[in-house]
Amino acid sequence: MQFPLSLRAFIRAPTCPFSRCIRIHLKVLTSPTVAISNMLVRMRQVYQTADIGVEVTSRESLAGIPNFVGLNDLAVVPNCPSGATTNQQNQLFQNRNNVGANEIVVYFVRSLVPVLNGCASFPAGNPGAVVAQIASRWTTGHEVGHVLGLSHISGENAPACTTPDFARLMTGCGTGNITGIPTIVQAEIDTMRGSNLANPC
Amino acid sequence: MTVTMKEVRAYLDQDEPDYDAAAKLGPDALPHLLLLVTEGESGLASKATYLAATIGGDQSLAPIEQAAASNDPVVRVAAAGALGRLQQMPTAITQVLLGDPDPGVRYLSLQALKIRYPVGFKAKVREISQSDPNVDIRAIAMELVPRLP
Repeated sequence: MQFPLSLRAFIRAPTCPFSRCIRIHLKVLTSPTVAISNMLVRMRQVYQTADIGVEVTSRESLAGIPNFVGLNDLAVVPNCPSGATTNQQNQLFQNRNNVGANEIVVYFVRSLVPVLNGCASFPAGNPGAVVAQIASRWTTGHEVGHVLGLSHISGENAPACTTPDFARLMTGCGTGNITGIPTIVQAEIDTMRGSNLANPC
Repeated sequence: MTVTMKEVRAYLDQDEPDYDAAAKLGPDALPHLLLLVTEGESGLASKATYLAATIGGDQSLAPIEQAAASNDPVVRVAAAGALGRLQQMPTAITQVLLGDPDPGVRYLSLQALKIRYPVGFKAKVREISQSDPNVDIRAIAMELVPRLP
């Protein structure tokens, strides 16, 4: 099967047309400015080029959870280093209703402190990411890319970003500047498909 | 060193800005940050607020003050979150944020007080501990009152 799929090919595919799928759960404290459905469409456009399907397994409002005020404007560790989380992140990531093993949770919060569009550091054993209200339409795909093991691309002279590459999903210079559908290269595809979170469909 | 808006945007457009690296732009970036707080959309205004606090110094207060007066709660939240980055808590701005109608702004302002326990806020925090409509905020304030000078 040729990827990316046309709509016709997708509809005619007898079963799930992807060899790998990620299962994500959406837990919403505050809806982002860019609609979640829009972010998911964009994410699927990119992920299908890696022959990875994106299955939304559940969606839940976390509006009434304990300490909502403290978690809706979530403190994170600056620069979101892998595996480093705050007490607030640990508390938020405890909310895993309906989440199975090797499944990813995306929490939508109002803001992050420091101010970020998203953050993909998570407590051990609870894979997921947080996405803020100010996120771009590509942020969810970008943050889940981090969860699957991707880093920001090299060669952009980050953090000054004098040579950004806005044709790539994993640009470290701002997904809000991406025009068109960004790409992921073969090495990134191999990393994503090799993740234990990318399950056979 | 002259700093251009393009250089500032190169840092702030990022999904995950590195504020310590961006702070090396120095005080020359502050006029651009003030402009972004005043005229930028929610994301840029809130990132500019946080960077201003990370740069620090007296001149950094203008963008934070502007953010604290924003109609956009996301920007005011950024101002409250930025308070904790400042070496010296600005009394007037902090008092405004502690009385903000948005509970997230009040919550983060109280959290900022927990970093250095500055003088001049005990009475306000005591009032919050007794009358804030949000139980979590009252609890933080209650814990804070005996520790403030």
